Formats: sequence, structure tokens, C-alpha cells
Amino acid sequence: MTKTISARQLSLVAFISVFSLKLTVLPSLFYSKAGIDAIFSLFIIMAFDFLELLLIFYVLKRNQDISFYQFLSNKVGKFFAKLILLAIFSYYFFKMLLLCSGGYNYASLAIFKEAPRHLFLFILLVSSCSLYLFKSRSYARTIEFFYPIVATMFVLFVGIALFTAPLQDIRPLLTTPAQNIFESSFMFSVLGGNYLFMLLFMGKIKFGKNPNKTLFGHVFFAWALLMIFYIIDYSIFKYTAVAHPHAISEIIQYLPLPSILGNFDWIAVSFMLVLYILQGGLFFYCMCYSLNKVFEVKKIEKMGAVSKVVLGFVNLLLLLFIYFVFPTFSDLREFAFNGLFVPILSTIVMLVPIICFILEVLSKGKSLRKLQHLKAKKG
Amino acid sequence: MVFSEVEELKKQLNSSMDIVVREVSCGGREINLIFVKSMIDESFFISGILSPIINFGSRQSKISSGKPFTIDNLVGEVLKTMEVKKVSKQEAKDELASNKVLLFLEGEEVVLSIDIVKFPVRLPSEPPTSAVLKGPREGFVEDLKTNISLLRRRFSSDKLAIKELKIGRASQTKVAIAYVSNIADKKLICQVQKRLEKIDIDGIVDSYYLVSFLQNNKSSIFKQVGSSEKPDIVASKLLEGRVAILVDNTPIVLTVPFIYVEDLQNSNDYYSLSNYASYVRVIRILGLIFAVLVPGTYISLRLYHYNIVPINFLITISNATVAIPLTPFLEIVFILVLFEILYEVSLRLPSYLGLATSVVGALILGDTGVKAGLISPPGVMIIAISIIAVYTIPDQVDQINLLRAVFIVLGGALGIFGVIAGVIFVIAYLNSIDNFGVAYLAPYSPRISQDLKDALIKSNITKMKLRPKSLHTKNKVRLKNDENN
Repeated sequence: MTKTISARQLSLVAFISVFSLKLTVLPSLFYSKAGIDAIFSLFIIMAFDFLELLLIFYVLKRNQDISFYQFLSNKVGKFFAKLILLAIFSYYFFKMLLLCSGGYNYASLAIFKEAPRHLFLFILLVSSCSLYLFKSRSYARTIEFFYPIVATMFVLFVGIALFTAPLQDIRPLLTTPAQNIFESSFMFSVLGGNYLFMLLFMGKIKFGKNPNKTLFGHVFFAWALLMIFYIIDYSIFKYTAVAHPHAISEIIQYLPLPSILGNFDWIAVSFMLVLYILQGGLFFYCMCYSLNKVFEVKKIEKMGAVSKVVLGFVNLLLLLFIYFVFPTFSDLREFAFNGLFVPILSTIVMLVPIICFILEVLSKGKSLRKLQHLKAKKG
Repeated sequence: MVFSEVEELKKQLNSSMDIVVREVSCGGREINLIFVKSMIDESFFISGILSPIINFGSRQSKISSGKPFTIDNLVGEVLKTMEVKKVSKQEAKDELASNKVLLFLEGEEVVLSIDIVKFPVRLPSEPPTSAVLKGPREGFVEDLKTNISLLRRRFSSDKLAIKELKIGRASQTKVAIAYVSNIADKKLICQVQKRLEKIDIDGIVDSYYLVSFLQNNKSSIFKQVGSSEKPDIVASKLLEGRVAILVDNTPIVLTVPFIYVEDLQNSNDYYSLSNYASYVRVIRILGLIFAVLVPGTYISLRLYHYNIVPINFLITISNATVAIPLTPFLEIVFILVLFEILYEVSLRLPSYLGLATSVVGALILGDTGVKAGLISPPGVMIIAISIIAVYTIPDQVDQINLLRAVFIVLGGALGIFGVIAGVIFVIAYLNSIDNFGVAYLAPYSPRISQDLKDALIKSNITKMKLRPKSLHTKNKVRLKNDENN
């Protein structure tokens, strides 16, 4: 298989994939369930994601020359492989729905006061689709290009906030029942699962020297920034954090330095819009990859054209859901975070890396036994 | 007597009025000289070819016992020219078409082809588009030979290799591929040669004709082939492992592979302090951003997002634009179109009228436009900044002008989100370009740490010990025994 992305680029995609809705709506959602101990909910999601990452990385390194679909087909057969990919499609479809709806909700309040929803969706969907159409190599390189800008902006933001914002003591911690903390992690799990996409890049990654260092370095960096961000958010707003669903923009308004220089909300807005588009591209990649494999598009002639049909279908489905099933963000939020369907779907999908890992370990054991058997025969 | 084959040859070349046949009788044998009069050095023709033949003939007739002279006698004893070669009569047509003097000797099967081509050539001078404060001031000219000599002067070793080929069925234009044999990647050289050899066109009149044949994305608005008019720049690119393509009749030399960062570099950077060069490169990047994004962003802020503009700015802009009848989008488009018209006119007008155009443009249209309340001072300023900033990267003028127009439409139609989406789209598109196996946005995406030493920030030459990794050169080491460090 042609290697289109490097380990560094993969880790940068992982870095970018951590943010977006976690910087706007998630802090308040967490707070609504777990109070000030929402930090621990985030910590649980992080720990689970880290475990997932370890397993995914192990599987990826051991299967460098086959695609994820081939891997699944070899291990569990084509039917179950397609079933798993369909689940992954649904999972990313919900993530994309949240991105579209949550993104518009944020943008309409922060910047697009008079802009209609179709305008926002048009831009987000077209640019995300174009990122997908430029293929994975170009997408990974684009992330690599924007990484220094995004990282610098975020580090500056966190730095300025830490040193200038009126922070309050968030203690006493662990006053919320543990059930609430775990429940909030479970309910909002669709916003976790950041590293699942890596499996879909299987076979395309060029592992250079020290891939672990690069990957874990960027992952820890992202989590550290996010953790500090949450602490800042809760320290500034404390009990009112639940009423601040646009955390990043609202924090900026509390920073004395930018307000001296003028209204700098646009920096946060630009930063978020860049993240939305980059994540949109990733979600489209995951959705189209899964759907292409489910329908075995490769077997059909003129694969490019059919792939675009799949892309069109995904877009249509998204628009149908956005306009007719969940016309407002609160409808979607109600469905995603207060029902059981989405958390259960997320849990199932997050089990995929664990299943892959077990299958890989089992097959490793099998092949070792075969080798020993052959050696014994020869000996 | 004019030989029949000479007559035939003249006919084959459409009996053009400047094709001349000169008959000479020498030592009892007839000689026909056929040549294109307008393309040879006439005085040298007389002193180096005609006179020696006549003198030789008269000497021969004095020595009556002398053996009849042959073509070899002519080459070895008579002709005082640098380049003489024997060609068959079938090849004669091509030789005459390439402006050589052909010498037919009665009874001989071969013809002598003598090179005394001469046509008006401009002297190497500083190219107007690449003026420098420090460093060499000579530039390439329209003559391939002179251009090759300008390049060779910078390589006294045997490492500079030059391959020649002819492109164009009618023009038969000479094209030279130059590279440093122990540095340039063999695959790259083969690829360039193959792509050029495949071209089957009636003629090429300038090196830009070759650009589309050399790039992968043919419809792209972004240039994918480097170009320069300065031998020192081309020499430095050859030393980095690139291949240069020189075309006869044009001073523009092409270089491949091309990466975007090259246009941010300027020859001045290498003849000044590296810290200053880095500073100037940052300014160029800012210039690029200003040129492309400022008008679009201004429109989007005025149309959709005035709430995020700092209040002091907002008051100033509102005061200046309150009486303007046009919408911000139309106003900016109007000023831009006006400027583009003035620019096109000033390019084509004689210089004495150019001044008048500037006066009309700047004073009458600009000043009175503002006073009449048709256009606002911020609008004029925004376009002026954008247009001036283009020239921080003069090699990108075409692309930047197109992109500016696109971002104006994006800003006007979709607001700041449209501008941001546009930027991401452009970057993703640039990332999809791979020319001759080199990523267009290298060394930033993909990041190549080694090449970052001569990208936006320029390191000292003593630190650039290796050649650019992105170019896959044969010989990686650039600086060996660095005893000063």
C-alpha cells in the first residue's frame, strides 16, 4: 500500500481532533452533570482515550501493509467487518451532526449574527468535502501546515488567560457523587473517542524513527492544553460555568489584556472556524471511508465518480437530519446527550479498538504457535 | 555554375530572398556556397571563408603540378573558422535551416557545414524585474550561447552538464537542459528530458511555452516551474540540485522542481546579513497576506461582522463611509477595477504618457472620487495597501491578483468564515501539488527540519551544511570542512 502520511502528520491530526466542541459547549455540559468535578469527567474520557490510543497504535504498527477493512475482513469476515464500519459511519455521522449544529450555534452567537444557517452549512460542508476530495496526503499536510498556527494561538490564549484572568479557587473538589462524574463521561462520550480515526488510516502510515515519541508527545500536549483550558473556564465562571456554552469566546471577554486592545473575539472565532473545517474534513474522511467499504465501491468501475456519489449521499443525509430531524441545536443536544442511543453507539464504537487489539493478540499467538510447530517439525 | 542540388536546396527553403548562393572557381573545381545572408557574420564570411578559398585557388593554379584539392584540404588548410563539419547531402537542409554556411565542392558526396552565425544580440544587463542592491547585476539575454556562457562562468569545474535538444517542428528552437552532474538527481534529469522530448508543437517562442508541459497540474493558477533572469540565481539553484532549462531567444530560464518558498527568497537575501534576510522574508509573507486577504476581510467585516471590529476603528470607518452610495463590496470592486484599468493602460502607454496616466489615476480619479463621495478613503487605502503589497513577491503577481479577486467575492458573499474556508481550501490545494516528486509547500508541509534553514527564516551559510532534502539530491553535503566554526 502507498504510504501517504507520516507518523508526525498522524499525531498532528490526533492533536487537532481533540479540540473544537470541547472548547465551546462541552465545559458547560459537563458542569451541568458533574459540577466542579467535571474536570474528573474529562479526565476519565482522557484516560479511556489514552487506553484506546495505546491499543490502536499497537494494532497499526503490527499491520502496516493492509487497510483497516482488509484487517477486519481477515479477522472477523466481511459481514462483521461491514457491520463494524457501519457503526463507525454512524458514530462519525453523529459527530459531524454535532459539529454542524454546534458550530452554527457557536458561530451565530459569536460572529454570524445575521447569517442564515444554510450559509454556515454551505461553507462548512463544501470546505470539509474538498478536504476529503484532496485525499488523505493533502489533508494530513494541511493539518501539518495549520498546526503551528493553531498550537501557537492556543498556547498564547492559555498563557494570557492563566496570567491575566481573574481566576478563583475551584476547590473543594470531589464533592459531586462519583456516579454523576461517571455518568457525565458516559453521556458525553460521543465527544471523546478522538483517536478512532487512526484505524481508518491503517496501511497508509509511514512509521519513521521514534513514532511513539512524536505521537504521545502531541497527544499529551493537546490534553494538557485542554485540561488547563477547563481549569481556567471553571476558575473564571465557577458556579455559572453551566451558563456559558461558548467557553472560548466567553473566556476571552474576561481577559483584561485583549479588551484593552479592542474586541479580540474574532481571534477565538477564527481559531474555532479553522478547527471546525479541519475536523469536518476528518469526519468526512471517516464517513466516506466506511461507506465506500460497506458498499465495496472499489469493485465498481470509475471509483472516483462513485466515491463522489457516496460523498453526495452523506451530505444529503446530513442536511436531512439537520433541517428535518434536529432543526435546532437543543433538539440535537437533547437527543445526543439526554437519551441512550448516542452514548450506547459511542460505547460500541469505542469497543472497536479493544476488539481489534484482542483479535491481533490472538492471531499473534496463533502464528507463534504455528511457527513453533514448524520449527519442531523441521528440528 | 550553380549545382542542381544547391538549386533544389534553395527551393526547399522556399527560395527566400535572404538565401544566397555564391559560386567560386578554385583550382579548376567549382565551389558553391549557400547561406542565409541575414544570419551570418558577413565580414567573417569574406575574410575567413571566401578570401582563403580564392587565395588557395590562385596558389593552386600557380603550382600547375599541384594535385586537385579535396574537401579535407579545405578543412585542414583553407578555412579559418572555429566550427566546420562534414554532413551528408540529406542533412544539408537542416544545417542550412539552422543558419550554417554550406560549402558544396564539385564531385564530392559530402558537404561542409560552417558555423559563422551572427545576429543582433543584446548585452547582458540588469533585468528590470530582479534589480539588486548588492550582488551581480548581469542578466540573461535572448541568445542561448551567451546564456550558457554566463552560466559556465560560474562553474569552472567539469561538473556542469548541458544537454541540448530542439523543440518545435517549424521553429526548431534550441533548448538546453543544465544541471550539476554530481548533485542533481538522475531521475529528475530523465523526467525533465522525457517531458521536453515528448513535446510535439509547431514552435516555441519563449520559455513560458514549456511551463505547461513541465507541470503536473496544468490548469492550476499556481506556478509550478521556477523562473529567473539572473545567472547567479540559476547557478545557486543548480547547486541545490535543481535542473535549469534554457531556451534560445528568451532571457527567462526555467528551473525545476519548484517549491512555493522559492518565491519568498530573493538574491539580495544571500548577499546580506542572514538576520536581515529573515526579517525581510517575514515582511514578504505579511505582504502576501495583506495583498490577498485584506480587501476580502475588510468587506466581510463591514458587511457582516462589524460587531467584532474594535470600537475606535469602527467609528473611524463609519464616519468615512457613511455617505458612500455603494455597498462595501461594490465599492472595493469599483476601486479595484479602476486600478486594474489604470495599471493595464500605464503598461502599454509610452513612458511620456505614463506620467499623465498616473496623474489622472491618483489625483483626478482617486482624490476627486473621494471628494465626490463615490468612494471612501478606507476603501482606497485598503486597495492601495493590497496592490502595493503584491510587489513584495513580484514573481507571484498573477496568482495574487487572481486570489485577491476570489477572496473579495468570498468575503462579500460568505463573510469571514468564507475567507477562512478559502484559505484552508487554497492551502489544501497547494498541498495536493507534487511536482517531480517534491511537495509544493515543503519544508512546512510536510515539515523538513533540515530545509527550514533557508525558508522563512534564513540561517547563516555556515549552518546550511546539507542541500535541501526535499530535492532528493545525489550529493547531500554542501559544506564540508567548516574550519571557521
